[in-house]
Amino acid sequence: MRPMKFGIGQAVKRVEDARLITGHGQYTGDVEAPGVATASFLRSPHAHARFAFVDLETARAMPGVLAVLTAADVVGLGGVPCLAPMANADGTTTPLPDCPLLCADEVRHVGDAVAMVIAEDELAARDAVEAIGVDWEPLDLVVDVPAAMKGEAAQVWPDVPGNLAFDSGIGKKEATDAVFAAAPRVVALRLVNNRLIANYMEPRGAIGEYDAGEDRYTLTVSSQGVHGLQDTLATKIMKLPAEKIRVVTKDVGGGFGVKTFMYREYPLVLAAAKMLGRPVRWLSDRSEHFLADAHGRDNVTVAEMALDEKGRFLGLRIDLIGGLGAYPSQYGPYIHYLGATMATGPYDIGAFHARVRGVYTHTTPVDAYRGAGRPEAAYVLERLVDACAREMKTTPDAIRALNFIKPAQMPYRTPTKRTYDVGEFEGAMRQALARADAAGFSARAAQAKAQGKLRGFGFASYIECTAWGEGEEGSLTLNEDGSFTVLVGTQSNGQGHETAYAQVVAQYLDVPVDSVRVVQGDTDRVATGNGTGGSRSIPVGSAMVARASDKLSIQLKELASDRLEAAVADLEIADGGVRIAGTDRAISFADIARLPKATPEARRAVESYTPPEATYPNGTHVCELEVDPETGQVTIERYTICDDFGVTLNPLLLAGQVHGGVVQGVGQALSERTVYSEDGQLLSASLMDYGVPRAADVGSFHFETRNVPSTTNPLGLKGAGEAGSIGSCPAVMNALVDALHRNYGIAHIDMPATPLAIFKAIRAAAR
Amino acid sequence: MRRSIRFLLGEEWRDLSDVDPLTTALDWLRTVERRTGTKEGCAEGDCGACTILVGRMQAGRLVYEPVDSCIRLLATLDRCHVLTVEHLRRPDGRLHAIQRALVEAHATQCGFCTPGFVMSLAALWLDDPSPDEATIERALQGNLCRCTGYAPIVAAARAMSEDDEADRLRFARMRREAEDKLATIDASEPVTLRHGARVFHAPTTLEQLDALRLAHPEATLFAGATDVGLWITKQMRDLPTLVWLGGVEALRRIDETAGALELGATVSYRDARAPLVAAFPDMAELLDRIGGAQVRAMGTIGGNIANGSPIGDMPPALIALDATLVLRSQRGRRQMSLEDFFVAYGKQDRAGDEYVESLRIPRIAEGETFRAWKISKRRDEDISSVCGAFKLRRDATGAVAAARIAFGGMAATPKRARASEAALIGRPATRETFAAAAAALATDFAPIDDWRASAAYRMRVAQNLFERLRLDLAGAPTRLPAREAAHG
Ligand SMILES: Cc1cc2nc3c(=O)[nH]c(=O)nc-3n(C[C@@H](O)[C@@H](O)[C@H](O)COP(=O)(O)OP(=O)(O)OC[C@H]3O[C@@H](n4cnc5c(N)ncnc54)[C@H](O)[C@@H]3O)c2cc1C
Ligand code: FES
Ligand code: FES
Repeated sequence: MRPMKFGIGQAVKRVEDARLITGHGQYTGDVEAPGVATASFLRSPHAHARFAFVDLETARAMPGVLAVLTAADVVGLGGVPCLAPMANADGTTTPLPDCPLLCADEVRHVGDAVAMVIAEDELAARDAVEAIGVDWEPLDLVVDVPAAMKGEAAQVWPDVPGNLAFDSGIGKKEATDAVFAAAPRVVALRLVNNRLIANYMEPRGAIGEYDAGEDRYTLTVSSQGVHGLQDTLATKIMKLPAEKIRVVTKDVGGGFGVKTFMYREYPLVLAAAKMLGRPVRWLSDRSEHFLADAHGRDNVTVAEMALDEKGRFLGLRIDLIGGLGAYPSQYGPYIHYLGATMATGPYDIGAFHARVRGVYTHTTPVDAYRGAGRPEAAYVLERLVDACAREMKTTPDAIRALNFIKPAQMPYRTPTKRTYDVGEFEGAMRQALARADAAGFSARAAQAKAQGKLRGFGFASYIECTAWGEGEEGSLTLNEDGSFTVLVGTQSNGQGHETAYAQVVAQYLDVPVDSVRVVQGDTDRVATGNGTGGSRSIPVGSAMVARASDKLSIQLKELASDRLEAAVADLEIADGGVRIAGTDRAISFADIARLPKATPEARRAVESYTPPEATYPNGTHVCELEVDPETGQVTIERYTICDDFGVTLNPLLLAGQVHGGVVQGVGQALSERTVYSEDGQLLSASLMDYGVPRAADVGSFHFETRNVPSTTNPLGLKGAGEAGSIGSCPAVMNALVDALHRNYGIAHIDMPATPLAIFKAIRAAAR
Repeated sequence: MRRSIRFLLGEEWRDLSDVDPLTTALDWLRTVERRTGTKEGCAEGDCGACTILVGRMQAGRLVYEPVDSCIRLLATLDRCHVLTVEHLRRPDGRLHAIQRALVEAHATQCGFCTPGFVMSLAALWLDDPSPDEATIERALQGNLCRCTGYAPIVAAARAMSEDDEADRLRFARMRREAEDKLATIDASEPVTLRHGARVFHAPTTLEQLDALRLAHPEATLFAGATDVGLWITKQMRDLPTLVWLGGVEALRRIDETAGALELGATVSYRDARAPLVAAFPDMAELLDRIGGAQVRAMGTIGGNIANGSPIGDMPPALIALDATLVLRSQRGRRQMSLEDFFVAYGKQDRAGDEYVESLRIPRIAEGETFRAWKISKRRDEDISSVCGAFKLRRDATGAVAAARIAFGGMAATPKRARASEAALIGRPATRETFAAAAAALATDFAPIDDWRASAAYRMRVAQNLFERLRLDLAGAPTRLPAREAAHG
């Protein structure tokens, strides 16, 4: 592709920044809604209880209180549905409960919603919530996933025995078992993938409005895509034609997957707005975020690798038990399965089978969180591969090199029926190891040891899948003033889409990025869309914008050809206009827009793009860290990343995605611990208690690309939004295990490896 | 007596008389002023999204500090110069040097944390035009970002003083004008606000405070509100009568005499840092790991003591240093050793009309060593699992001649480790001596067991601190490792 000043590949500064950096972002809590009333929820203090209201009247009579709603007030509305149920391996299905908008007589996790108060302001609403009288009858409960599967465990749902929501499989069971039975060596590992809480800095929020004249609702919500929410509201919950519900999303303060889903508060603010005849706003606070937004990850996996005497991987067997929480969240069941479809990673493994089970507990529901299944899969595989290297007395790089899928094997069909188009896994690994100065590690380790510190070196080679499934349809318009407008159905959550799409337009139309406006997040303005998620926006959205730009450039040349009295074939796009190639005879886009023939249709190109296959970014993360054996404290000393994202659209945006993702992975590996007490209370329910990394916890990383363009994406792009959080957990943990194994022979430790956990492991080993 | 609060919001006066004393600065900014640039991420001082810059008059000059507006009560902005993210951009629309540096470094993604970072950096920019890495880290401890991974923000902090002359000139002018305006308010006049059944008093002298204490023994005293603010925002407590200590200049006194350091009760961590570190170098690390920059600018040492928490970080250090507490009421003053102040969990030796007036910390003598270590789940902005402090004197032979040791997080109160002290005193500073002192800890303490840290962990770590102390005395490195310079 020809380099353009603001085009693809350029380190263009973000157009969003001026707004965000001066405090002029418009997040849901900043949106003006004249006459708005405030909603607050009574949430269950019990993990499992039956309840009855004994006093609603006191709250209703309190000053400033407009309404107190309970399940009885919203019987006409459907519950929040799970959209991704999983069938059992034998083809049967287990009944799938909806999540009620308000619980009628039984609560199933701490934070489950029981009543909604709407009042003049926040204070009045909260006071009224406290005044509601409820008679609670606590019931037996279960919070631990393995415990929930035992026969005697309390049941979350009466028609789901053993709390087993599904028991599915992928791959070939018998063949894999046979390979294992005959294999000379088998290495096994049991790993916990810790439950995480997203903690985007902007908690969720929503404003419901109802226009009685038009009989139409508007939901303004902090989301990852307006169309999905509109569809669920229309078809499943409110049972209205979609055009009766407008969904708007403005600036979003981070989502990481978790703002994708429909949550009960959204239909409720709409219903309340209609009942009260005025807008109703609900803004989650941080404590509510911990209890009422979907959690992420949460599985226990037993993984086994069958090897031959040379260390060749013969077969992989996975048994994954995933936590679902109390309700099946929007994509919750599928996420555990999705990971298994990437279980064999970058390796050529002949035999594969995974059993994937989903289990209910009396805890907050679990769903997709940055990476959604793929970080879990990469974590298991890369920990297992390191364990194999130890078992085979070889090095982690040698065993990987031996087993990587070779470039010559591409396109490669995985045992999970995916097709990797390209990928040079060993190349990325070698480049990362060289850049990380793997060779100098022993000297650094010796130096650390002299200071009483244990240094470890570890890495992970991952591959993941992005941008699969649905496509995007959108448009590019030349406005009358010569600027351009992109309409797109993806949704920026901070990734910088306004800049990225403008760069794609700039590539084709040679205009500065600030002459391109990107419109997203409004079902009235953008007809269709699939939001942000699965790292899809850049690969899918850009491909659509590229097509539209290409198409529009032809339309604009056609418009210009009359005026320039030249054939379209002799025209080129240059300097913000159309020019006769090789001459200085040109017409600017602004002038084209004013030509009589430049009708709105002639100035607009509508295009769509649907990916034929996922794209497969991959790479190697290398981590070098030190453990203080006295305290169990870990410091990451060096971190090196070599990734293949196909084509780099904007190196600044790309590095930002990778960097942020890595820090989330470091948080999962070392500090983010979700703790439930036995009676189902979430103990780690504040930012003081839940360890989101801070600036001093993470250093600076070295990031570089070794791109191999995707052959399935028209621009060669591969998604990059989640990769950082995929490579990082296993890299950090492999480095930690390396340090612990060298010094104490410790071969296993689970995430999060908090100082306490490390300290305990060292003590136990020393004993 | 004034019945309103007066302060400057940017260059504009605000004079408010109808203020609910429980209103936070953040709520007022966002809902009344509709200045929505300042964000709420947690409402409990943890995330820094709500950071604003508050200039406080001190001897006729404005001192600017980063403040978590979510737990700062509006009424306590009296006589202050308040700046929010919206004030930084120049009137011609040009971004402030800090903002330009953030854009250049790609240091914002979703942008929700960004206003808070901008304001924390603004405080740093005023304090230190060329901060080193450690200073930057300290300035950012109280701000969370979930998107960027921080490195770009740190890079922006390094670059923010480049090409900033115009911004410095503009700020100096704003400051002078604000000082002139605020100087017109009589600082000696007490303030009382009434709103419904709630009252807010801001006395300006100890005598007024004594009288208020006597008249309203049920009133809630507060200083920095880093504890009390959370009672309001998180526990939804109604506090009908509030007495704010921040207006009493006499409580902010810092006296450095030859024998001791005397701190008024409302001296903040930030203001106490220089004199404390000069007297006790080991305090630096402890102080720098209390909260973040905002909490250290707001929170007071007197509040940390009065709050009586078993995991407050100052009491162990101050007990080891043999500090004396001065309590005051209209009845007079009462002095006691700080260790005697903590009676039992949630109970201190303080009568209803008394308040903490000051703290006297004897300097360490020649030959004495003072060490304090905080152990927490996370390095920054975290509550201690264990906090241990040691004051030791060795004689000419190297034997331990005197020892005062105190721990936080090991019992229902901050507490002396008397058995361990006894095991050290009179013994040579050998491995065996310190091991015996560590073992003796078990006779003094039965630490609590919670998910933050198990009892066994607390005990073990506390015992290990004796080994660390021994190594430290022998000259071995025991500091938290400084991070290796970023590579690549
Ligand atoms: C995010 C965050 C992080 C924190 N991190 C730490 C930490 O790492 N280590 C730590 O030890 N603490 C930490 N704290 C708590 C710490 O900031 C407080 O204990 C602080 O020192 C209290 O001072 P204050 O002036 O803010 O007290 P306030 O909140 O104003 O008052 C606290 C209590 O003391 C009483 N009080 C205050 N002054 C007096 C007085 N002069 N006489 C009598 N009673 C008085 C009040 O009535 C109240 O009961 C943190 C707090 C927050 C919000
Ligand atoms: S909102 Fe989080 S610190 Fe104030
Ligand atoms: S940019 Fe999103 S939280 Fe910092």
